[in-house]
Amino acid sequence: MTGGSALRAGLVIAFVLFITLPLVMILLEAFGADWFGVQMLPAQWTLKWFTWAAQTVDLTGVLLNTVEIALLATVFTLVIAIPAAWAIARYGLPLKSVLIGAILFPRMIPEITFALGVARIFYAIHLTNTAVGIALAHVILAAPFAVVVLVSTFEGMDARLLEAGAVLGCGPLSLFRRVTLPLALPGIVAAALFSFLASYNDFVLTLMVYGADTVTLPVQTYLSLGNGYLSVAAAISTILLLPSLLFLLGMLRMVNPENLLGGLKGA
Amino acid sequence: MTEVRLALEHIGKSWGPLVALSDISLQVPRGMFLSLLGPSGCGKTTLLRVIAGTLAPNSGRVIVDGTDMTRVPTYRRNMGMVFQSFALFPHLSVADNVAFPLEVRGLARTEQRERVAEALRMVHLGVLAERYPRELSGGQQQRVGLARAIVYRPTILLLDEPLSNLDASLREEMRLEISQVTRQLGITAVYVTHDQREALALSDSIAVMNHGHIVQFGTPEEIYGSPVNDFIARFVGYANELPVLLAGEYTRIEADGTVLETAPVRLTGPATAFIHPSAVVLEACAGGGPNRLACTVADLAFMGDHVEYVLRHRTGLQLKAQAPIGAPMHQRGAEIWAVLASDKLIVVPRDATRPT
Repeated sequence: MTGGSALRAGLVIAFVLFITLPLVMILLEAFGADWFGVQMLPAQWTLKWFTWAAQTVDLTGVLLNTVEIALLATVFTLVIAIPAAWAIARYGLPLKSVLIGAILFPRMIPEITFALGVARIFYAIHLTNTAVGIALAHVILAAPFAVVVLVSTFEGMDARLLEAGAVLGCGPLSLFRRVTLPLALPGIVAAALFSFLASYNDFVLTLMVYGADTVTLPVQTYLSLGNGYLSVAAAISTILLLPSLLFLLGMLRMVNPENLLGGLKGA
Repeated sequence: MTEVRLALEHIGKSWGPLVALSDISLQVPRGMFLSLLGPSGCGKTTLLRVIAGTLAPNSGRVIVDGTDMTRVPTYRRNMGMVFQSFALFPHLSVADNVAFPLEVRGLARTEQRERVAEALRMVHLGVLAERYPRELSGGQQQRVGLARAIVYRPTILLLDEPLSNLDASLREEMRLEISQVTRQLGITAVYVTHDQREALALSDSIAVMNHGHIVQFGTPEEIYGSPVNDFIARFVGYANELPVLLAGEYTRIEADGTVLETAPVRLTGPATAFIHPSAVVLEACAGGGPNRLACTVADLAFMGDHVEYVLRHRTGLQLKAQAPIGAPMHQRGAEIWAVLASDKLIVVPRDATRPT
């Protein structure tokens, strides 16, 4: 093995560990019995932390809350992002870069700063502890990604295909349904996945506006940890991890990941 | 009196100071194949888009079968269109692409199937019905485009440089396909091209455009045989041009005053004489008769069925000549005589249309 390829192999291993080691630690914590991190591996494997989690916490309720909020946030985001991206991509809007900057701005400032402001407003108009309210707050996180991906999708769309559709007899609505939507579908699916995950995974914003009826998985992980149950928190966060992994696998199969990156490049 | 299918009345289109179309009027009888011919930027594609309705003119009217369609949206015009870029829907199979306009019009499934099969048969693509556009060659994709454009029997078939994206070897085949399909259906067609050979080969009539104007309108024979000015002559392939002066009944070459004998010219002002390379005859020795120019052979190329010569006159004037195989060959540097047959020498005024 030459020095160069050894270095390359070392870098790849370091990179993989960098990403996966924290996850591995959580999995060991969640499935290991009497493991205090002294030995390399737990002496025994167990599911008791998951049972504990189910006994101490309303896991189903928390999971349903999280999914409901994430689905709502996805729908809200798409409803806003699709027309916005269409306008930015297809009409020669003045100040286009300013517009995109404004849309990306909430992602550039500290989430906690933003969350405090959102909390003030939500307390004033009684939107805290509601699924709709939390989903709306999550739109702030999801919309920038969604808009950027969709702008790139719509910009990459061949205008001549839309013209062809019109000449062949499609009115505006029919054209959208028969041509625009099918062509934009991969981008819309990607935007939806990003939006869902942005909401599903969010902690900081949710923490500021959740209530007893709207505990989500990330918040519950934090609460369990606060109660001193590290392994229970690990078990819950393992459940929390599942959709991300499933979506990642599904996405890699369905959508060419380079298209998604292309969307980010466009910003 | 033939029925007028398409009439354009005083069409004008401009973007700010840029005039793309300037007072265009023409009539297309039912079943006619019309070509809009011109260099890029002459307004031909803009005019096609005005007819299709994807672009609104600033002034003038588009009339189809006596009805003013100027403000009718594209999707209600029932036009067929073949695109330079094919513009097939990538998410639909060949059969579904062709069925698309029928589906939009709400035709029954069984009739759709019949019509699609018939259209695909017409362009010899029946076996590829289940394939997707990306799996087809350019030539096959354009046949699908043609089938999709005729399957709903549109009022007018519009073709926007349909051969430009095809390999040279496929172009002639596709041109014949277009010719056969349009004649077979008796459809009225408007064909946009920058290639004069395509226009001459396909059309019943040609409108040659430049700077947003129609410079000449006529049959292919008229356009080729009697170009109205130097722009048209150049555009339809007269490769030899001689700047001339007109004085009474004489035509003189501008550079040295050599008198040229031509058909009677009724012109004043600056003019240009044109002659096709095949009408330039080469002779090795001096002889009698008019229009003999002493030249040197600057270059020659053997082309299989003829020989191409580049000749240089002492005034610096360059002439191209085509000699048939079997005629005596002349070497580079040889001193010869170029004879310009007076009935083949056309004299036309300079084009007055300028960018406006």
